[in-house]
Parts: sequence; structure tokens; C-alpha cells
Amino acid sequence: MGKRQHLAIASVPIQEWNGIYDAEHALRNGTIFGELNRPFYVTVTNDETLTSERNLNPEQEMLLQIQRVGFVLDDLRLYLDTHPEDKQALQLLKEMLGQKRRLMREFALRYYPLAEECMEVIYKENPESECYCWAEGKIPWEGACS
Amino acid sequence: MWVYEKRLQYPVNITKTCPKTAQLIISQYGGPDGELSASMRYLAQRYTMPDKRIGGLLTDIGTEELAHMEIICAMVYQLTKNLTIEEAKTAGFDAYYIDHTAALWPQAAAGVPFTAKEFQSKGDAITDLTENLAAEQKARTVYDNLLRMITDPEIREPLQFLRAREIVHFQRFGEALERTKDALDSRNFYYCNPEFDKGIKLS
Repeated sequence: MGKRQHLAIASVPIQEWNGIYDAEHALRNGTIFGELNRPFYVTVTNDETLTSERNLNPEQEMLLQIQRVGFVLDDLRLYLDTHPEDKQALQLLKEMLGQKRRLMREFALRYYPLAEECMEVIYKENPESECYCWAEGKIPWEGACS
Repeated sequence: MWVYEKRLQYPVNITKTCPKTAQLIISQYGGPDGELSASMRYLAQRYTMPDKRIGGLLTDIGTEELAHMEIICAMVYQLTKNLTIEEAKTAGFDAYYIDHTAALWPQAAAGVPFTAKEFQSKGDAITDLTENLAAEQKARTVYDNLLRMITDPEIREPLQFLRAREIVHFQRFGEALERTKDALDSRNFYYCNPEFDKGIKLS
């Protein structure tokens, strides 16, 4: 038995850092980690474009990009929760936080704010605005049928 | 506290009304292995978790499960939003319609209402983390079963995403269990309850 294996208790090997998928593949596969990507046999291959990636207008395209970068951060955060000492993961976290902030800011200026800090971006740009911008934009659960 | 980001974690764009599928998928909202149950379980367990880093992991996974609940609810909503009475009748969605019209209400596929009995918070780090490993597997099996039955790619893609998350969460809870074991005496992990017997010397 290995160092971590003992009788009468569950054991799971600790994952090691082996790099990650790019943001597009990460969202498609539901993980940033190739070694944790274990698809079910009845599902199609993940290499073809998904229905959610087709016929997008520029606003939808940019929102999808935010979903991709946001998802890399979601999965990275959980990895760092159990690997706080991993320097490569931490470095990537710093880069992705900046990427997401820039995208969210840009999306707010072009379309509508997705979060509170994005409202500030809008009012900073236009302090005289009389628009309550939090009520602007698409409702998340409406999807394509709105 | 929590703050809201006005977007789904994964896009949901379902263009065809299908109350029959909504009735199946709603199980991952209010069913025994659903996202509501998962979220409440982790967010309840975190307070007494002795290792604060694991409390942090439970907060982050519990928060992600709230986002998954939102995805499932968006799917049920889009599958029923243009529902006609005829469709409700032929799809067997009529009983749900009588009580809830086309609103969201947490129940299992077979109509059993959501209940706190469905999630465990036992107050022992080993017990709760082992429970969570099983919970992620149960949720994965439900997604497997849904993916066998549902063919429309607009519905399958978010389900595939959610299924993949269960496997990642399993790995993280496994790592959390390993960290918990590291803090205990490996000659007898069950000498005390690390979440309650705080004064006991471990080795």
C-alpha cells in the first residue's frame, strides 16, 4: 500500500499540475483539466462546435468569451483550494483575473453591466447618466428565445 | 454574503418547448441528488469543518452548485415557457401545471417535493467528506440517465457540462479527505471526531 492508502477509509490520489485546456475547450468539456475529463459513452465527441457556439452576434460572442474565462477561474479556484502552494496555478489565476476584469469592463461599456463593479465603470464614463444600468440587458435565463 | 453575476455559468439556449423533458430535468433542481440539495449540503457543512481551507472549498463548491441550480432552472423554464394546455396534457405535465402553472418549484422527477431530509450534515469531517464523494457520484449517475434519454443537443450540452463538474468535485472532495487524514493519526483515523473532540490529543 502507498503512503496515503490505509484500510477502512477512502483514498483519492492528489492531482498534480499538468497544464490546462484553453478557455474554449475548458467550457466545452466542463473542466480545465484533461486528466479529469471523463466523458460518458453515449455523448458525442466534444470536437465539433456546440449549438451554443453557432450563429452568435457580437454581444453573444463576447458574453461567451466571459463565460469561458469565468469558467477557467471557477475550476482553477477549486484546484487552488486544495493546492494553495501550487505556484503555476497561482500565476495563472493572476493572469485570468486580469483577463476577466478587462472583458467584464469592455462588455459593460459596450452593452450592459454583469456585476456591481461594472456599474461603476459605466457611471465613471458618464457621471451624468440617468439610466439605472443594472436593469439593462438580457435576463440570464431567457437564452436564445428572448 | 453573495453577489450576483448577471450570466449563466454555461449557456442555455433551448428553442423547442418540451414539458416531458422538463419533468425529467427538474429532478436535478429539487430531487434527492439535485443541485439545490448539493448546494445546501456543502454550505451547511462548512461552518464546523475543522480545517478552514476545507471550509473554503465547501463554500466555493456550494456556490458553484447554486450556479448549477440556475442552469437547471433556466432549462426547465425554457422547456415550458410557451406551454399550451394540450402539450401539458399529452406530456403528462398536467399534474405539475395544476399546482404550479409554469413556475419553477423544486421536486424530483416522480413528483416528490424537495426536502432537507435529502441532504446530510453530520458534523464529522470524515463522514461528511465521504458523504460528498457519494453525492457527486449520485448526481453523475442522474446526469448519465438523463443523457441516455435525451437526444436534443441544445439540452444535452449543458447536461454534459454539469455531469463533468460532478467528476471534478469528486476529485476535490477526495483531496479534502486526504488533507483531513494528514491531520489525524493514521494508526486510527476514528480515535475521535476531529470536528467535535477538539481538545483530544491525536497522537
